[in-house]
Amino acid sequence: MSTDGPEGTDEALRRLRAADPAAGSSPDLDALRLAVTARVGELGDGHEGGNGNHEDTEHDDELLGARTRRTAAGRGRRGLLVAASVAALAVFGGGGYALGAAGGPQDDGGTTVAGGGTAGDSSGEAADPSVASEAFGADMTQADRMFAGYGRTEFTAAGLSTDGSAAEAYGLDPTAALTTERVAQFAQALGLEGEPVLADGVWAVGSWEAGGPVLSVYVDGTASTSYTDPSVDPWLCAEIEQIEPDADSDSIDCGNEQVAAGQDEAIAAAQEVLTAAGVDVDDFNWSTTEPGEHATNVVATPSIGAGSLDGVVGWQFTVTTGGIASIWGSLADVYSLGTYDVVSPTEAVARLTDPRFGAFGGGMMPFAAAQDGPAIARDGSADAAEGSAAEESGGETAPDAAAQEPAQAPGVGPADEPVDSGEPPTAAPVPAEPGAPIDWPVQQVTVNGSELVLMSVHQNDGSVVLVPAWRLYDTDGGTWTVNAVADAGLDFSAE
Amino acid sequence: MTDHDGPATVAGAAARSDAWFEELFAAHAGAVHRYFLRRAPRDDVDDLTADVLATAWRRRADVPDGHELPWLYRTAGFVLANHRRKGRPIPVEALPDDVDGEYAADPADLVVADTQVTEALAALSVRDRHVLMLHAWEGLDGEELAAALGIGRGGAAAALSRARARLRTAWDERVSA
Repeated sequence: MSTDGPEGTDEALRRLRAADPAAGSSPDLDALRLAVTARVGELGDGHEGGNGNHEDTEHDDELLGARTRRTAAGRGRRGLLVAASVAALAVFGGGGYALGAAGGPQDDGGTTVAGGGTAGDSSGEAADPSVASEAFGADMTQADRMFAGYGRTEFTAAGLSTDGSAAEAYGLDPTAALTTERVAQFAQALGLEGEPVLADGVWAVGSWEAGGPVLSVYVDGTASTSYTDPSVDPWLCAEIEQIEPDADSDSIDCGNEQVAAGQDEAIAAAQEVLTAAGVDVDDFNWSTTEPGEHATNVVATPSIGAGSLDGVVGWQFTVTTGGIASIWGSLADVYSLGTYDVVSPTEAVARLTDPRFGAFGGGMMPFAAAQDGPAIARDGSADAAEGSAAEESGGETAPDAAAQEPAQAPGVGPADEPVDSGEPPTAAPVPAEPGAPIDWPVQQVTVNGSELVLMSVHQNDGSVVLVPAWRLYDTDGGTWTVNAVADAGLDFSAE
Repeated sequence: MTDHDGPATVAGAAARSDAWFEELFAAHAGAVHRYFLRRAPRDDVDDLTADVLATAWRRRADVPDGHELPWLYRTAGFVLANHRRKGRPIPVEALPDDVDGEYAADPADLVVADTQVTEALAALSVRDRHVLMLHAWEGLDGEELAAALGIGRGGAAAALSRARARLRTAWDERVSA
């Protein structure tokens, strides 16, 4: 399994491209143009701006503020809004119910989805309420198609415990890391010269323009830390190889050929830097991924919790024989929040269809990681990706992007999805029989395994915590992860 | 023809008439709409798109010739961030540069049917997601990516290669050999 060759790049990036949520979308440009007019007036009114230049700034903010207030009042936590609409579409499955719950074109602001603010809040919006609902209605089928892959799934727990328990949660405290002294200490550990400068939410040592190494520590809940040394960049050559895959490898002179460091050497280099930076390396479990040709990835995972952690804490180092090419990690201190009651695995399965924990609902998203996705997803996303390929290849995407990935055929999505038909159809599908039941596949998932892990959650104020989560395993080899903290330990109130 | 180093000159702004805007709209409104389709709750997308294009008209003097779309994406990022702040409207030009990717999408809002992609994305930092989506979905690279991120070209290239590396790692950790 190659982890850093061009093949690995292609698959992940290809799938990411194919997963484009806007694939196949066709916005109602006329309605949009009208909506712009509603904001700026007719352009040919004889003055440079819609309402006179000096008023433009206030007008902008009024509209933005009005819309923000209107939508905030109507739905509280933004995540719940999406959960309400999407979960209605996805979880309850029935097309008619879903459209009703999500607020079809007839409703303008009257449903939970569209927000409870009054039309009078914003002069810009009230002028054309029909515009908004027309535009929304026109894309409803697109929304349907996007969610078909995740929705219409029923989960059954098989042989799982029904006993609740308790588990430890952790908080992250970035305060000590976000100081001149600490950032300077890290810089020195890397041999980096210069005073830390705080600007735009980042502590930085080094400058991009100079082309030298740069250390950045972000003012966020995890004290995210990033370091790159362009002179040791192992990807430069890999990317050139990708641009010209047929070129004779001898003729490629990327001038910066890097060789992967040995695994032990790579770990030692990473530990040396962290120790000098004031981080206790014994707090982590250390491992490396299989070294590629140009670089070795070192991974340090905090030794907390019983099961696995997602990638928000810990460290990753990319090491070559030329040195440390890049670092990414969290400099925040991990501390215990104490023990929280945890639901049983059986109840966790029920949470998979609970809109409060459901897909796209405020960060507590169940994941399905089956290698063979449900057939619904495959068909749905393949169609969408085809539409995307046809629309995007000639459209707004930069020509550079197309040139950089010649390995991708224009039909980037369908080429990789194992769809049944390789050939275009020559005969029409058999028309439906009167009275026959309508096909309405609902995927059945049986969950028969569970494991307690830790999952990161971003709180309303930006702080980050690690909470117990159930990783659920189904009989098809898929996994689903959901927050395990019992209701009493959660604050569901609106932001 | 204005140079490409900075915003259009005053003379250029006066020349930015209705026709300029209609052309900009015809060329790029769809792209801005798709940007929000990927990152915002569905029923906010049209509003947000119209806001960005209205801003392009009001601030037409600042839209760089030949880099209109990345400017629109960057403005879209600000508009999205402003939209998320709790009822505190802030003038678009007062928002700080998005160096830390704060304006990127929360995975909770991403509408991605491919759950493997969803899980890999969720394992990445906000910043990596931001860069990867601009690259994979908006198709930005090189100078355009740098303009959309509001940083220098070297920084954008480094940010992208890091993000791709971490996507690779997150991906491989979740796919059995």
